[in-house]
Amino acid sequence: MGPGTMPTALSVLLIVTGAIVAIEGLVRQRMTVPASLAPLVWVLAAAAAFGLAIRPLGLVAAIILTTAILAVYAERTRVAHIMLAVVISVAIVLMLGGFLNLPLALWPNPRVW
Amino acid sequence: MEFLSELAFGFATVLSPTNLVICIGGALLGVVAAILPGISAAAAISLALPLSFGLAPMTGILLMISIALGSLYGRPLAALLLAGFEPGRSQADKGMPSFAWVTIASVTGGIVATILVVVLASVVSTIGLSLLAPAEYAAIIIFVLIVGAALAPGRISRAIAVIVLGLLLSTVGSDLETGAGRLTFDIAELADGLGFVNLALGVFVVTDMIRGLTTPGEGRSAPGRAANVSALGIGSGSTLGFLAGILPSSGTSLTFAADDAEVASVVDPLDPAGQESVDQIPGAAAASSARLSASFLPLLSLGIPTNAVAALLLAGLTIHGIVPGPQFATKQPQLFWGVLAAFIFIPCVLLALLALMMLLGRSLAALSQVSYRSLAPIILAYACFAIYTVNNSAVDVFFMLGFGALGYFFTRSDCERGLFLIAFVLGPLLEENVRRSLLVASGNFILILERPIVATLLGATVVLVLGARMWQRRAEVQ
Repeated sequence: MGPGTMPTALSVLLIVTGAIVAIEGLVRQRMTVPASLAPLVWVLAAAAAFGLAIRPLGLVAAIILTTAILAVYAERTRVAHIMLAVVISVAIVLMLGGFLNLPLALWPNPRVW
Repeated sequence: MEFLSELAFGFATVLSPTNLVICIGGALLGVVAAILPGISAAAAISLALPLSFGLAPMTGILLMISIALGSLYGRPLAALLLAGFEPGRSQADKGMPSFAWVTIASVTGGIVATILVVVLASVVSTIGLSLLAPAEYAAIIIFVLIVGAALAPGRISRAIAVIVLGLLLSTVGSDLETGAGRLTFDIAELADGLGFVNLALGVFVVTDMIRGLTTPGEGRSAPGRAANVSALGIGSGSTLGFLAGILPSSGTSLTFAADDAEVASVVDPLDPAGQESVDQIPGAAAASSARLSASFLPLLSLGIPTNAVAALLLAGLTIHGIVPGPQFATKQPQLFWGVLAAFIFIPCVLLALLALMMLLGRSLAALSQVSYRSLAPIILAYACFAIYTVNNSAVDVFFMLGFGALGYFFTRSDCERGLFLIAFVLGPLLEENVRRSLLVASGNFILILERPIVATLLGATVVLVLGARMWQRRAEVQ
C-alpha cells in the first residue's frame, strides 16, 4: 500500500457518494430558500484583507483593516462602533502579543515592499 | 478502589498554581463566550486552540477543557437571560426555574458522568489493549464514523459524503512513511497538510459568523413559557447525555436557530440554549454536561472522539505530541488522571463562579444583549490574528477562509459539520492502521476481513447504512 492508495480509494468513494447525493437531489426536488450572498462575501473579504495586509503593513494595520471592513457591513457604518471595535481589537492584540511573546511585526514593514 | 488514589494524583496536577489560574480564567472566558451571542462551545475552543500551543501540555489542555466546560455551563444561564431572567432577584413569581437549580443540574450531570468515566476508563482501556490490533482499530474507526452518519440529522448519503471528504482532505500533505507529497500540487504551503486549526476556526468561527450575519434577529430565540411540554428530569437528562456522549452523536451545538423552516423543527434536546420552554432547561443542562464528560470515555481510553468538542480536544492533545489510546493511562498517568480530575474540579469552580456572577445583576443581562453585529468584527479580527500566530503564515488565513465557506455550504445543505471535523481528525489514524494491518497480512485484504472482530464491525456498519436508508425512506413515505 503506497502513499497514493488511500487518496485514490477515498476519491473513488467520494465520486460514488457524490453521485448518489446528486441523484437524490435530482429525484426529490425541493424548494430551497435562496441565501443572501452578502454576508459570505463581506466576511471572506474582511479576512482576506488580513491575509494580504499582514506581511507588508504589519499586525496593527491588518487588524484595523479587517475590523473596519466587517464593521462597515455589519453596523451600517456607525463610526462609534468602528472606533470601539478597532480600539478593543488593538488592545487584545497588544496584550496577547506581550503575553505570548510572539515575534510579530506590529507596524508597516518597508523591507517587504 | 485503586482509581481513588490515581484520581488524587490527578488533582495534585490540576491544583498547581499556574494550572489553577488557567482553570479559573478559562472557565470565566467560557461563561462569557456562552452569554455573548453567536459563540458556540466549539467556536470558543477553536478560538482558544492557538493560545494553548504556547503553554505546557497539561496547562494547554486544562485551558481548553475549562473553556469547553465554562461555555457549556454558561449556556443554560444564557438561555435564562434571554427568557427575561433577572440575576439577583427572586424568580418564583415568574414561573421560571431558579438559576441555582439549573446550575446544580449542570454540575450533577457532569460530575455523575465523570465518576462513571473514571470507573469505566481502566476497564475499557484494558479491553482495548487486549483486542485492538491495527485491523480491529481501523474497523472501529470506520464503525464509529458510520454510526455518526446514521445518527446525524438529515440523509445518511450526505453524512457519508461529508465524512469521505473529511478523510480525503486529511490525506493532503507529505506522506508519513515515504515523505511523498500527496494532493499538494507542488505548493509548498500544502506540504504540512491543510491544518487542523485552520479547519476548526474556519468551520466553526467563520461559518457561524456568516450564518449569524445572514439570519435576521441574530438567530437566537428566547425559550417560551409553555407549560405542557415534555421536559427531561435531571436523572433522565444525565442518562441520555451519557449515552449521547459515548456514541458519536451530532456534535455541533446549535448556536443559531436553523435558518430555514425545514430544519427549524429539529430541537436538540441536549442543548440548553435551544429549548422551546424554560422548563426544559434544567434537563437539557444536565444532559449537555453529561455528554461532554461521557465523550471522554472513548476519547481517553480508545483515542476516538465522538463529537466536535472532543475532536477539538483530541487535536489539541495531538499537537502537544500526546496521542490518547488504550495505553494512555499507563504511559502518561499524570495527564490521564489530570484530565479526569479537571472534569470534577472545574464544575465546582464554575458553581462558585456562576454564583459570584449573579452579584453582577443587570450588567450580566446587558452582556447577553450585546449586538452580534458589533461583536462579529472583533471576533473575526481575533480569529485572523490567532490563526496567523500558529505558523506565522498568511496562507493559513486563506485556508481558514476556504474552510469557512465550505462550512457555510455544509450548513446550507443540511450536512453535519461535526462529522467533517471528526473524519479529518481520524483520517491519519485510519490510514496508519489500515496500512499496518495490510503489512501484517502481507497485502491480503481477505485475510483481514476474516478476523472475527473486523468482520463483525464491518458487517454491522453495512447493516447500519442499509437500515438507516430504509428507515429514512419509510419516514419520507409517511
